[in-house]
Amino acid sequence: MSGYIEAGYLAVLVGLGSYGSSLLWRERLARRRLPPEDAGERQAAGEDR
Amino acid sequence: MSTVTTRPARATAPGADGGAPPRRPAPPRSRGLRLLGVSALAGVAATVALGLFVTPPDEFMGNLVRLLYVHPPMAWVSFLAYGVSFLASLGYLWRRTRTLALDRLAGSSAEVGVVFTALTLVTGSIWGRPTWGTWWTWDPLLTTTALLLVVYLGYLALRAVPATPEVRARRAAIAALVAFVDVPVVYFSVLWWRSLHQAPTVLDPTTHRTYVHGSMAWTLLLGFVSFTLVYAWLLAHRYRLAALADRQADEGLAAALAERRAEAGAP
Repeated sequence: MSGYIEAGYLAVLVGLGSYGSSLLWRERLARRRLPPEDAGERQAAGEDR
Repeated sequence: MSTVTTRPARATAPGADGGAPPRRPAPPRSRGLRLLGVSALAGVAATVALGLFVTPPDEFMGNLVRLLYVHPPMAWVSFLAYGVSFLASLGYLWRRTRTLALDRLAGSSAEVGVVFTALTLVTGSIWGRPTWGTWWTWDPLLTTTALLLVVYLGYLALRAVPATPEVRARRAAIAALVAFVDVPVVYFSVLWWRSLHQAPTVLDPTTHRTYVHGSMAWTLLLGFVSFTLVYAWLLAHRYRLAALADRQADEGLAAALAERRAEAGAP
């Protein structure tokens, strides 16, 4: 196979993987910033994960 | 890109008694979403495995045909994402269904769509180099697709302009309706104008014939389904992120109000 095919698949996997990871990271960060009232909820979420 | 930061008006404005805005719960995690993620991941893995190692090379394109299993699905998902954004924006503009959740959905879907459009252009360019001998040409399809990306980047930039949630949602909804006009133009450009790009291969709208068969057709179908699942998973997470950002904004406002009240009550 030529390098073009691998490059195409790599672009898709790396692009979507990076974007998906950034969303998960940002979501986790946003949850951490929530006030302490939500600690129970976040603890449950952490256990779920 | 973090431009989806709208929030409901009720949550941003103080209550009638001047109190803090009502608290909205943060979006809970769900097993369904995790299942969706696992299914999408499995589907993509199967598509890659079948596309790279199982399906046969094409009679004319040889092994380069393997890019067929990722490039058209990218384009399809970007159309789908913009379609969802269009419908959500329409729903927001219609008074009976007006809710800022629809605005959040429109913005989230557009952002995911931009990622898929960028990947459409990248994979298309990688495919174009060995097939056409160039990375880029001002072909109608390529040009209108690039325009689509620029237009939706503009839409996301517009969402980032500071305003009240209602004003921002309204102008974003109108912009989304205008931006969507380019989607059918992109799709039909290969039929309307002379194009270097091939006409629709999966289902030709003029002859209603398909030009992909056997394991190639199944792998392509799997690619469409898998990347649609990826889109759904990304959209759900982007939406949740927007909801969390709204929640943080609410908390920030509540804290600022409490601080101001404490200052006013201090001797």
